[in-house]
Amino acid sequence: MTNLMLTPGLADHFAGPLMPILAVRDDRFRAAIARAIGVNLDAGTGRLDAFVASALWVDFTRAVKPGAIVAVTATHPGTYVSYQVKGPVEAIDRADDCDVARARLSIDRMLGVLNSLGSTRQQLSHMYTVEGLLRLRMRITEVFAQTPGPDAGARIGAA
Amino acid sequence: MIRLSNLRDAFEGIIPSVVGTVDADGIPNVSYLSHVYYVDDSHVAMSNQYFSKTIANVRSQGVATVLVLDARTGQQYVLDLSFKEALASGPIFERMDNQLDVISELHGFGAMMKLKTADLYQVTDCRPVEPATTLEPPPPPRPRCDRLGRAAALGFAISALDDADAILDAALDGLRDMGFGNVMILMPDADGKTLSTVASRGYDRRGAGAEIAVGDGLIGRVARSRLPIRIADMRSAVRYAASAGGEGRSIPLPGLAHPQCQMAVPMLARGQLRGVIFAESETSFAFDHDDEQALAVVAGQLASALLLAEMAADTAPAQDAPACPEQADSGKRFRFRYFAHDDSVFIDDDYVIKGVAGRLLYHFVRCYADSGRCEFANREIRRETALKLPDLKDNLETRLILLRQRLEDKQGPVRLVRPERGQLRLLVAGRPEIEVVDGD
Repeated sequence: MTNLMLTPGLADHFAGPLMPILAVRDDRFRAAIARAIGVNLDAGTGRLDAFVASALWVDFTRAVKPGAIVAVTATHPGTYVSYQVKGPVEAIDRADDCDVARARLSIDRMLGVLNSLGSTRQQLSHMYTVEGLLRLRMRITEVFAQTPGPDAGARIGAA
Repeated sequence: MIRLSNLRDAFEGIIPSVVGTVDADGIPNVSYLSHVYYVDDSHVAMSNQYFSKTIANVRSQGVATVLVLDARTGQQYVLDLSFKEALASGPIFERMDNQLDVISELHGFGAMMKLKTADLYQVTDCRPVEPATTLEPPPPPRPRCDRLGRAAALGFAISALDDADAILDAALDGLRDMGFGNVMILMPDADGKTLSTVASRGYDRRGAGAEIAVGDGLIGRVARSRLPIRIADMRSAVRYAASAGGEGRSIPLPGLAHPQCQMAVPMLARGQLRGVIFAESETSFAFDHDDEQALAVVAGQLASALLLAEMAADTAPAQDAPACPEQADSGKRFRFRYFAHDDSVFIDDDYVIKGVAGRLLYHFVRCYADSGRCEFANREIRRETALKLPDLKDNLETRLILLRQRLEDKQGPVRLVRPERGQLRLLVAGRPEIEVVDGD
């Protein structure tokens, strides 16, 4: 089944180099934040897998639970084109070897991209690790444009 | 809670920060934002441009979570924030707006990131994101040096001088000794629309007379806003065309080919902009907040000292004009063209200077050609109505220094020397053929 709000353009965006960030509500009714190493969008099912290093993002890992609504904003580092997707978490699993290998490739790719844009390994030094890598699967129920500008925050789709 | 003053490098706006909020139903929202601005040890301000959902959530819930990254070390910190107020004016807003403009320009956003309000937050907690593994070892800590103390000492030394030449030399030498290896001092022109380089250190050319428009680039923005700006790390930035110019009636600004860190502070005295001090380095994070404060201390002292020097020169007694010394190559002719519309001067088709300094040069050479006069007293110059010098704010002393240095840089047939304080001597090698051009 094809998810109509996940257009080919959106799918292309999520397949590109991205700096994904996540938030979930914690028990203090505040946002707990994490960075994801990579995301995989299945436009057919409307599901998104985000890979988060639990060793780094302790607050987020503590707060996120199946059924919780999670927000993921994925920004292209070169163009700043951004989309935010929201929806319930369906599953949180320890990443398997295949996921970890893919995450390492994603780190290498992002380091290359960000270095070419002027960021140094030192600046990115604390951002990328696969320690305690989790695969967080969410079902996308809302999509928002998030590119900096007057249209940021506009809802462009809902399930 | 970690003191925010211990992580100033995380508030430089180099790496975008992350802000997370929740709405009344607990639905989260997460966004990048360009700038989290340090206010004091327990307050920050965030730029409110377009992230309206974040603003709506903050207004309804009163809290936000922010992730900042120290762009020198890579260390990340999480800040819990409690909203205090939205500022649409005032010093925090002005400074943030200014900094944001520069960062927008550096990253090629233009005016897209215009600040609507600076939202002030109390920081209720600040904690590090403990690194699991790191890609690089931490960089060595920044060396501690008492820059503020040294700035105060330099300010004291400057304030003991009453001669503009000596003041500028002392300031530039002192700044070099403080570690500011590449520095220039610029002064506003009479029309207030441009700044001209008066003196510099650490460049392959002095650039006396090089201009930049008020509002352009880092220096021009500081002149317009009268607020300091520091860009700690320019590695990911679109480069400012700091050394643009040099065609036609302009002189290229001196400047590093690959600056990684730049800073400019206004020189203010009696509420007036007297100039801008600009410093740059090829090393990222070469200047921190303490350096900015130190430079501001020196800038204030320099502005006051130069203003007092102008006043002292105005009251200096006029000397009897001695006979002109024998001029070399007196038989050789050269073409001296003066363009009245912008007071620009060309010698043998080579651009020399424009503006007030050009008008002064024309006056000197015209007097020399008409009467053989070569000695001029500052006091007389100031009273010469044909020069249309608008009183003290015109910086006559510094403009004469600029003109002297420019002529020295050009190594042409016209030079100015300063036989004694308040006096100028025109040295002319040859016979000027003066042409006054009324149009372009």
